[in-house]
Amino acid sequence: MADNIVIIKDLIKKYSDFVAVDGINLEIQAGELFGLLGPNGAGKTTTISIISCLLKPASGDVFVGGYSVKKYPTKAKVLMGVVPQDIALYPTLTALENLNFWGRMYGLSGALLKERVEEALELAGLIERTKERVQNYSGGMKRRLNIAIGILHHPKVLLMDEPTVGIDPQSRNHILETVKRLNRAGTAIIYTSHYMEEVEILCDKVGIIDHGKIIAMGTADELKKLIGDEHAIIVQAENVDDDVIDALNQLRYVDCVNYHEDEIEVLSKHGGRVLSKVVSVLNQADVHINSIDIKEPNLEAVFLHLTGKSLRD
Amino acid sequence: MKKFVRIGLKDILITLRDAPALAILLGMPMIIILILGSALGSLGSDSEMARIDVAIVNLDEGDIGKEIVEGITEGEELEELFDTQVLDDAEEAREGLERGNLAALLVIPEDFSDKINDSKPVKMNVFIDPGKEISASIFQNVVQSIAIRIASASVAVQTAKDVFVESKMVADERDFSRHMDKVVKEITADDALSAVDVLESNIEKERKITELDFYGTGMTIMFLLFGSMFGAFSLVKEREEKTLSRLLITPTSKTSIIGGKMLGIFFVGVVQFLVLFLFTVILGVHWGENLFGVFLLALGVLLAMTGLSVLFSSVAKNVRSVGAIAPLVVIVMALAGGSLFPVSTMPEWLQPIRYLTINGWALDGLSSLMKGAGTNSILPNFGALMAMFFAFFLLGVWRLGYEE
Repeated sequence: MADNIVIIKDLIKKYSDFVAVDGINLEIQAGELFGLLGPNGAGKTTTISIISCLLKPASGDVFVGGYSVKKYPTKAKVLMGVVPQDIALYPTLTALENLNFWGRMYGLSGALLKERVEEALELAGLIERTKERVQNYSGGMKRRLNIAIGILHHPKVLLMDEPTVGIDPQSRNHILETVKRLNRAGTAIIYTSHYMEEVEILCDKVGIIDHGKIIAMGTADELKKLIGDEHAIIVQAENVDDDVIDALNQLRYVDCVNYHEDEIEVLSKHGGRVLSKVVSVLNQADVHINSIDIKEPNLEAVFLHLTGKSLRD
Repeated sequence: MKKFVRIGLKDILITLRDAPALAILLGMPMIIILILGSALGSLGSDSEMARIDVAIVNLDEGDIGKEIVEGITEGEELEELFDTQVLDDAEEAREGLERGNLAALLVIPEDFSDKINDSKPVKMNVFIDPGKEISASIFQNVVQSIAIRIASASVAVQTAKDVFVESKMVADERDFSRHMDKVVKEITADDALSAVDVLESNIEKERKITELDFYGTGMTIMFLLFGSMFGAFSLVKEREEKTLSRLLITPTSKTSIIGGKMLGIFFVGVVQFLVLFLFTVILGVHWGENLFGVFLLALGVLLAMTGLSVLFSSVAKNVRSVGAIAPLVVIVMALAGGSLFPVSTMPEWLQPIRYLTINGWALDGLSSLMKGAGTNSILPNFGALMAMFFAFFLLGVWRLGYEE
């Protein structure tokens, strides 16, 4: 209990008849990197908003460093850094001006503020463009600055809500490296995402959330054991239509087919056996195949197993 | 430094980098005042609105009464100041005064000249409209000055007559009168001119408001109110761009956040006012001698404008709605409040509508200050502007709270 930096107890949040968070209980240890995985609308952002004192829960409570967010929000806020899903920066101010302003909002000043701003700029890889207005930055640079602001005051726990949405692979890698670095330095992190690869690579522990409920929790390996041996066949292809997807779905041993941006994902417990049938269906339909890959069981499959639907639905 | 001051300073910096905002807040009023000023400035000095309506009833049949009337109606400077009617019927003139058509009425009694020539006491009556005290007092001073001259001339004439008759320099009193008539004429004619001296010190008391003064101050107030649009933009953008949520998750109180935002809007208004004030002073706009009063009214306007920003941001859901609502409200207030044309040109029943606007209270106070009024006389105006600030602010905060 003493090692838990965040404790979530029976948390409920409702919007009229819609229950966004439905009785969540969680404990996150100091220095832990916890992943909250779920599709859009599962309740990830609402949970983060309640922890960060932006929304009030209908019932239940969250304790950050022992402080209830309902009773002592200011004390809890000092211990938390938040990287919101939306880029929240002043576009006509420079990176340096943004960092100085937000640092002051966390009570930093003088030499300490200067030191922390430099450290954050270095971490975000923006040291050479500090005096440029943020409106001229690329999406990836803005995301990195968005993160840098969240860590200025060296929080004990960092809440990161989908920090890699809509950016180029290079910036994504930079951000994932940053998350690992911060965690190694001792910061506990709650990382939400609907990209299961990120959560799988980064997180010590993963909670799978759907319809406002945590439906499974454990390490990635523990979770994957829930489904046994589900493999994913990933096909990069062109000229794919709904008939092709239907045909794939009807193949024996195929559990599920997802199609998104020229990428077909076929989930099956018998990867090797299904592969040749998949190729044959695609060839008959005159689909142009660019690449094929078989992946080991992953969290996507776990999610599918638990909910009957894809993370991207 | 307190967090709310940091928030305010951040907003000033953002506004200073916003070229369209600067163009509307500073560029547009400067150009409009410059154009209106150069187009209308030359008309200012001979404005009809500054002439004071007076009447003279001359019941005297002698020369002195006639000279007084001519002195007032034909003297160049006096003609410029007074719109003088010469009437025969004293009763009719009194009625005119009571109806408010006149600021003052002079009645020169019968036998006025004869009595002066005979060195008997004599009185001229000046009736005034208490509602037009300042205008009336100017006329009163002119008449008084003429009376003093006549009295001193009369004493001089009497003394001279005694000396001349006794020393046999003239044949008799009739002969003396013939000679002295000329002298008296000159003295009374001169009265009118010397009265102008008295007059000029009075003109300072109620200075004429020129078109340049009117548009310089009117436009400044109107464009200060456009600040409320950018203030509301700033508040709504903070919400739209999610920086408000981010501020709320820092250990900064809601009071500091709203206080800081309002401070920023107010600061920008102060900078805007100082720039426009200096610009109009350089152009020759006369804001009056009481600068403290002017700044007090400006403070009231800027606070009311800040309150209006909060109200706009609570009514409009996004930047586009603010851009639609705010200019409409500001222009309607400018029309009703007298920023675009004098309220006196509106039908009388419609004129009180100006008291529902920020412009109305501000310009009413400013025009009093231009005419030489003291700070006390504009305190009700300042009070009304403060009341508007609180009303707009509380209504805005209540609406924002209701939405949450």
